[in-house]
Amino acid sequence: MRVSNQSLTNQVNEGIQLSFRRLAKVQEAVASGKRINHLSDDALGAARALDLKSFSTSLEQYRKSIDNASPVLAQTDSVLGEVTDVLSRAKEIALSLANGARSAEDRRQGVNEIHGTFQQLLTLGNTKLDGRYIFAGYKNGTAPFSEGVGGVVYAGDTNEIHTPTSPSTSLAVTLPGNKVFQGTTLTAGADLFDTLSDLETALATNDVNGANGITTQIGRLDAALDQVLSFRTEVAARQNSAEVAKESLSALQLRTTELRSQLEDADPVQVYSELSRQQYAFQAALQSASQVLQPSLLDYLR
Amino acid sequence: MSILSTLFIGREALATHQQAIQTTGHNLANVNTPGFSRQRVELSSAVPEIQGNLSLGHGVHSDGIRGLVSDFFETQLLNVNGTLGFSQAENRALAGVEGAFPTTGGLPSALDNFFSALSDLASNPGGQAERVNLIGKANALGETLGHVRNTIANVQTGLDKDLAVSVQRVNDVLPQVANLNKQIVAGEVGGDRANDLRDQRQVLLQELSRLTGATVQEESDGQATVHVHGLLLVSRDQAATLDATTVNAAGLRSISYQSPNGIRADATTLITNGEIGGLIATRDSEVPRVLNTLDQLAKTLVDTVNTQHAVGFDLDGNPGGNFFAPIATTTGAAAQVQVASAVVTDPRLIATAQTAAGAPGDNRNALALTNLQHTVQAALGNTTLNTYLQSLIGDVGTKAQASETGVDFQNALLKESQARREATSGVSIDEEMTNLILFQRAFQAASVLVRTGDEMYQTILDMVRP
Repeated sequence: MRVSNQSLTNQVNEGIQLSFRRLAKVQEAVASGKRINHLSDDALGAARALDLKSFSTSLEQYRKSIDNASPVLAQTDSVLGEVTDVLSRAKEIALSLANGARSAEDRRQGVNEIHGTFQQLLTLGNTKLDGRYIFAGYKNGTAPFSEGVGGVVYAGDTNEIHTPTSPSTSLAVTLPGNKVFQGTTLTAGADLFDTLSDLETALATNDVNGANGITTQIGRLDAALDQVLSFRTEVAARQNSAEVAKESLSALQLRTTELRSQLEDADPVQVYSELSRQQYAFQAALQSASQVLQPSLLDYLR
Repeated sequence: MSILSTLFIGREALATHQQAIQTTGHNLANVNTPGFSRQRVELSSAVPEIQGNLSLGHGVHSDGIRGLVSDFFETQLLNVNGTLGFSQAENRALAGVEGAFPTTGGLPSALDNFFSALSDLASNPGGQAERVNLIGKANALGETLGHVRNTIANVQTGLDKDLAVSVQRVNDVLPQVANLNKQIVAGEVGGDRANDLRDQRQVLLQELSRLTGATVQEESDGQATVHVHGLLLVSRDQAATLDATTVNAAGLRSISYQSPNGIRADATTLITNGEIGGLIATRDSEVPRVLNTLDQLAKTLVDTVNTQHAVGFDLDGNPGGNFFAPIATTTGAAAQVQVASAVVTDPRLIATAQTAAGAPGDNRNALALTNLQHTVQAALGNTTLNTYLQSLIGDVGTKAQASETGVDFQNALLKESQARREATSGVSIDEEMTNLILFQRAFQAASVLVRTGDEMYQTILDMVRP
């Protein structure tokens, strides 16, 4: 095939252009560290990478939810522990004052101590964390427990606040105060406030073995302690669930990040060797161009 | 046989080789002229002189100047140019659309951030900071959607402008072709081929093909008839006109055609190849498709969020109103996504609760709103918002990628066709220089012949002088 000057020039230009284009493309990958810099580099890969990123973000959100829930669970557990201590103290006092050797005067003096435990329990019931009352159900903007004429009034509701741990599961975080402290909706639930205030009355009236006497109250305190214990167990179970969920989320996030990296990131070794290959090819194109374009018959004619 | 014959042969040789040298000079001068076909003086030996049973040669004779053109390769080049023009225009448009979707950040991030903000709010529904953050992220999503739509709409406007320019160029070229037709007929009256005029016309025809994918038919008298998709563009010395000043219902240009006889037609859907074909195809189907998909995404987002928001209750126990300002129609929806002004003024209106009790800890509606991310929407063909967006982006990327490959392929075909054409018609300086030497030597030899003839005459004259 005959080659004219124009076609030779075109070919040389085309070769240099092509080499230059390839060089530019590799340089882009080196500079950004990414294999995919434009959608058209790998449309399918780009779409999959987006999907993984979205997935990764939602995993992060779930992790964040659990992180928000954990302090609440921890605080609940801690408060229930203190409640147990308070009730145990009350029980100790009641046991000692139930002893026949004690006088009515001793029992009357016990009233103050028991009243102290009552107040402590009230404070514990109104525990606030991060501006929110943890035993008020959904109505966590106002203190759930207040002393009213007929006893302690609960202003919260019976709901448990949930937080999602996956698209299909969620974790219950809070406990409604009326269930924990007043045994509402529980079969044979114990009302802690009621028990303590009845104990106060029994001590004041020196009633040891009557229907509402100290002995009866001791029995009720036992029931209360059991109730609190069962709630503590539940909280512990929730904390465990949260841990497990968090671990599996972390593992999933790690795998997702790995997949994304495989898809998006340029392999530095491969990219650098490609860069030097293209640089060499570009130089070769330029050199051969100069060798081919310059000589002509005119140089040799006199 | 006579000395006169010798002189005659010398004279003819001088004239013929002078013609050859001039033609070589013409070729050399045009080595860089695009579309030029090298010319060659057709040399043949003259009709011999018959003397008895002797056949005496009568020197060289020029049969005219022939341009070396291969009609086959010229036609091939025309076809390739048409498809290349289309691919190039399509590629430019798709690259523009691709630019609206960067590989990091952009719309998918904005959508994810919106749902993250909802999730944060569900963790603390009574919190003011989380509400303000949600409003911020929702408005950022609206802005991003608007920006993407705007970028793509600008691509469409750009294509429209390019269309006007291309149509104007076609309109300028058509009468030039018609004029060259007339000149070629006039020039070839003597029987010789009008090489340079034909070359000029061929260059214009290649440009026409690149712009419109037009087909060319050469008539028996050498005039070129140009058609595109059944529309007559040039016939003999008459040219049609194309006009792109009328604007259609969508505010975009349409192409009006008027034949040499005055017949009018709307040619917008008739030009399907060449650059104009590519511009129209992308402007009127590809780009609007992307815009519609984007609008559908925006409208569905606003509708589903508002619907879920409306079943909830805000911090004051009132039923939720609109979270996003409602959008009436799908067209243009992507530019209208913004948080309702009432909510912006009072973030307490964000309906996070499920009941009217006004409980600040009730996060159930906020959780339901967050879950919209994973809910399939019938309006999107039963996919989630994220999946819908990802398919849109994947589609844009795939088309852009295919178009890149297409252009590269067409370019390679063009280069190949050009190389083949050049093989027949292109000028090689070395070849012409060699020919120049040949013709120059022949010219020198012919001049020697004239001198010899002259000397012979002189000898004879001297012979008879007393």
